[in-house]
Amino acid sequence: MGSVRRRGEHIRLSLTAADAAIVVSLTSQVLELLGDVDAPPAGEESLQDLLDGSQEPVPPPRDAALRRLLPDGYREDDAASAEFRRLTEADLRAAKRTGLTRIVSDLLSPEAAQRGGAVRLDLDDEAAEIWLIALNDVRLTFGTRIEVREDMDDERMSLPVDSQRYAEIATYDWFSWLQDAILRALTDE
Amino acid sequence: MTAPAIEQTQRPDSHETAEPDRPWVTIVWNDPINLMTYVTWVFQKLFGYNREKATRLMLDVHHKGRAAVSSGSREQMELDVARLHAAGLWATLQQD
Repeated sequence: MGSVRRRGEHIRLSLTAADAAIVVSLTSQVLELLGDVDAPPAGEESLQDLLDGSQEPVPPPRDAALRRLLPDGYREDDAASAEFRRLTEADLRAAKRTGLTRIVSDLLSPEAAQRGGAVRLDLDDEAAEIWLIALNDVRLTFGTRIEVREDMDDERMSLPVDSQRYAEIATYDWFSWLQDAILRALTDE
Repeated sequence: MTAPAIEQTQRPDSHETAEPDRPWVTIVWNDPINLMTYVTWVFQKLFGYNREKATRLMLDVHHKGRAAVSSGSREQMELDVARLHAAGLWATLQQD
């Protein structure tokens, strides 16, 4: 399962090889979803708008998870939302990419590597905050994909342990634990 | 968990006639993914709210489905919404 503990100035993150691999894999998938800053993912309606420069308002993404990562700025005003998106979306994508890339590079760094592929990282508070936000983006993406609801306790109880749904929810719950553990270590709870 | 005893004034919808002198508000909406502890931390971090106020706003989002977390000029609220989006919260702005 791994452990998260404050050790003086740092928060020490210890993950098994399997867990570290899952974090790298799911984080990389979010990076892929967000696309390169200069080359939006194929099929996005905003592609032409972005190629045309920043003159045209930008429509919301079609993909539900991407729409959750890059939400509308206005609830009932599509025109204002498109204009808001034109002004902010490129920066938002870039900021998310920076945090997500940080997680992957931290986990794959030679300094973090332990015997057998396990990982041990010492994060200072600034790094921990980057991790918190990027892990949240992973949870938003994965959680939207598997359609989590506020109260899934009944479903957790009734699912067969060997079902795919059980594995998905267990993975999601593990990410929630990791994010919460880092937050508690950061705020000294 | 109990609901907070904070009075939330009823706010008109954004599509009503826009008046330039009415302030704008940033609304955070409930979602099933963001952790309550994380939302409280984001409110403290972004707005400098103390723990009590941040927790109260988080509970409003959780129980009432939404909370107005800041108010000011349209430009300021667009900035707040952009910062909340960067932190992964579901936020919009509208005229009060």
